[in-house]
Amino acid sequence: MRRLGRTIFTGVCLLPVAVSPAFAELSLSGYAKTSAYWFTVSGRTHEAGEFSRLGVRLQVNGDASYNQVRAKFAVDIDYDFGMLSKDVLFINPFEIYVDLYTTLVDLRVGKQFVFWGTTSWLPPTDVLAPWNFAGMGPEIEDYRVSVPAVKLDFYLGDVTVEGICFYSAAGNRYGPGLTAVQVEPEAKALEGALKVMWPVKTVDFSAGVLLIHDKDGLPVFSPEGMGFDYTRRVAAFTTDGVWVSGRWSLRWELLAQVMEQDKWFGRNNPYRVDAAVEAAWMLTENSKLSLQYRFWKNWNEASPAFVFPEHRLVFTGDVRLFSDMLRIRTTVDAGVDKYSLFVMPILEFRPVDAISFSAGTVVFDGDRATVFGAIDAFDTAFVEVKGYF
Amino acid sequence: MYSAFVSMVVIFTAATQLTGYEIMERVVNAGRWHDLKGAIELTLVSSSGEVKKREMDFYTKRYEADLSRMIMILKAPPEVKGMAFLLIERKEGDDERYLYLPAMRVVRRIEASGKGGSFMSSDFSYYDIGGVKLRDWTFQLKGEEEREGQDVYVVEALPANRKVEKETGYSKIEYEIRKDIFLIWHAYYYNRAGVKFKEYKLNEFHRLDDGSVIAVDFEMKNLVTAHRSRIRFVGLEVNTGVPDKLLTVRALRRR
Repeated sequence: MRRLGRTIFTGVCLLPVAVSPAFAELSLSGYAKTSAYWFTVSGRTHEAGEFSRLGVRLQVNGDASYNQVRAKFAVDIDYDFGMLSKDVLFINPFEIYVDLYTTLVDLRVGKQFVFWGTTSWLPPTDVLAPWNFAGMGPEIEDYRVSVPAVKLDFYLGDVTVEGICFYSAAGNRYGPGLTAVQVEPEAKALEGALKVMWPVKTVDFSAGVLLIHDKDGLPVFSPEGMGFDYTRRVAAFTTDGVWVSGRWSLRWELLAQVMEQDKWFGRNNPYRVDAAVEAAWMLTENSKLSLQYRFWKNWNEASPAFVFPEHRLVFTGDVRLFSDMLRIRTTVDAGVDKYSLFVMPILEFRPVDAISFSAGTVVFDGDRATVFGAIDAFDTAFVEVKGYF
Repeated sequence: MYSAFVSMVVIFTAATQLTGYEIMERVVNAGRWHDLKGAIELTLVSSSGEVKKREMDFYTKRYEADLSRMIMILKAPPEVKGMAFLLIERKEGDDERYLYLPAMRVVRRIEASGKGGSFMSSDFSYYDIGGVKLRDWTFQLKGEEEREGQDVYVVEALPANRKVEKETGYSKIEYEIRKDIFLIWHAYYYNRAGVKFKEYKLNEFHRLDDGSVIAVDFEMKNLVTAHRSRIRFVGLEVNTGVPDKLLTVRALRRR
C-alpha cells in the first residue's frame, strides 16, 4: 500500500516533465561558472590544500506559462575534475514543478524548495526540507535540498493558508562519513505541514503545525554497519513574524516540537524549543546589517549530550559599493555558551553586468557535539568566475 | 480709455494668476491616468562614462490622487532577472515594500531606506518616482520665464514639515513647469545642507487620447558625483484596466 502511495506521489510529482513540452514559449536563464574550492584543514577524507571541488557548472532555469498554468525547471550540470580520482559529471535537476492558479487556490506540484521562517540565517522553523550543512556557500541550491512535494496556497482575503506534503526523502547532510543515511530503504510516510499567515498593518504573522521526521537521525547499528535512523516522527508547532518600520525590521520565530519515542534505545519522548529574534537595519538602499539571537533547549533526552541548551548570536552584513560593482557579504554564527562557530565572508566583484568574480571562505569550528564542530574538517576557501545569461 | 483698458487687463491677469499650489495641482492632474503598464529602461551612466542598463516590466495603479501601487519585474541584467518588487503606498505610516527573491522562491516584507532611498541604485529616489505629493510641500510661484525655448512657471517647493525633509532628504525643490502641458520641464533638488545636488530634465512626453500628457523619457543627474540616470517607458499602455490582483503579495508569490 505504501509502495502504491509512493508510486502515485512520484507520478504526480513527475507530471511537470510530461506537461512542460506543451508550453509554446519558454524563457531560459541561468549561469555558467568555473569554481575552485580548497580544503583549508585536514580531515578523515582529505588533506589541507586538496581541492574539495574544481570544475564548471552550467545552471539552466526554464519558465513557461500558459493561461493560469506555469511550468518551471532548474538544473545544475556539474563537471568536476579529478574528484574521486576521476572526472565526474553530475546532473542535478533540483527544481521541476508546475503551478496551477485558480481564484482561491494556487497549487504547486513537483520537485521544489520549501523555505519556512522569517529570519535570514538558519531559521528555526525551516525544518521541513533537509539542509546540506557541508555545502554551505554562495549558492543556495548547494546547501538546501529540494523535495518532491505538493503545495497548496489558499487565499482567503488577507489570510493565506499554506498546506504542503511530501515524502521524507533524506536527512540533513553533514559531509562524507557524517551524512545521515537511511537504515531502512523506504521512507515511512508522508510529511505534511499547514501554516496560516495573516498581516496586521505592518506586521506579518504566521502559525503552523508540522508532522515530519527527525532529519538528524539517531545513530544505530545494523548488519550493514552504522547508520542513522531518521524515521522518528516529529510533531511541531511554529509561529513567526515580521515587523517593519522604515529602515528597521524585527523578525522572530518559535519552534516547539516533540519527538516519537525511539525504537532503538527506548528513549522517552524528547521535546525541544528553538527560538530566534533578529533585528535588521538598512543603512542605505545598498547596505544592510542584522543581528540575531537564537536559543534552543531539549528536554527529556536519554543522553545528557543531547540536552544542553545553546545560545547563539548571528551577525550578517551585506554591503554593495561603487554602483553595485563590489559586494561584501558576511555571516558569523557563534555559540555564546558553547564554542561553535561558522564564518562565511564573500567578496564579489562585478566589473560589468552579467559577469562576476567571487572569493570567500567557509569556516566551521567548535566543540564536536555542536553542528559546526562536527563538520570542522570541511573548511574551504574558494574562487569563482560566473557569467549569467 | 487706453489706461482703463490696461487696468482691466492687469486686474484680469491678477485674478487668473495661478498660485504655486494650483500650478502643481495641475501638474499632478496633467496625466489623468488610472493605471499604466509597460516596460522601463533604466540607464545608469557613471562619471567616467560607464553605462549599465536595467530593464523591467511594470504595472501601476492609482487609488487616490497620490496613492498608488506598483509592481516591477526585473528582466535585465540577467543576474537579477526574475526578481520582483511590490510597493504599496499608505496614507498613514510607512509604505509597504515586498521583494520576491527568485533564488529562494519566497516573498519577503523588506525594510526601506526611507522614501529618499535610491530607486534601483539610480539617482532617482523612490519619492521622485512616486511623483509630486501635494500635501508634503508648500509651493510658491517665483516667476514666469523662458527656458530653452519653453515658457515655464518657476515654482519653489519647501517641505511642509521636518518629517518630509528628513524622509525625502530635500530642503527645497525648484520646479520649472511647462506652461503648455503642465509637466515638470526641469527641477533642481537641494539637500538638507541647502546644496543644489540633483537636476531633473524631461526628454520626451506622450499625449494621451483624452488630451492629457505623461512623461515617458526623463533623466536625473547628480551634480556632486556627475552620475546620471535615465528612465524611458517602452510600450506604455494607459488606462487598460490593470486588475487589482496583479498588485498584491499573491501576485509576487506567483513569480
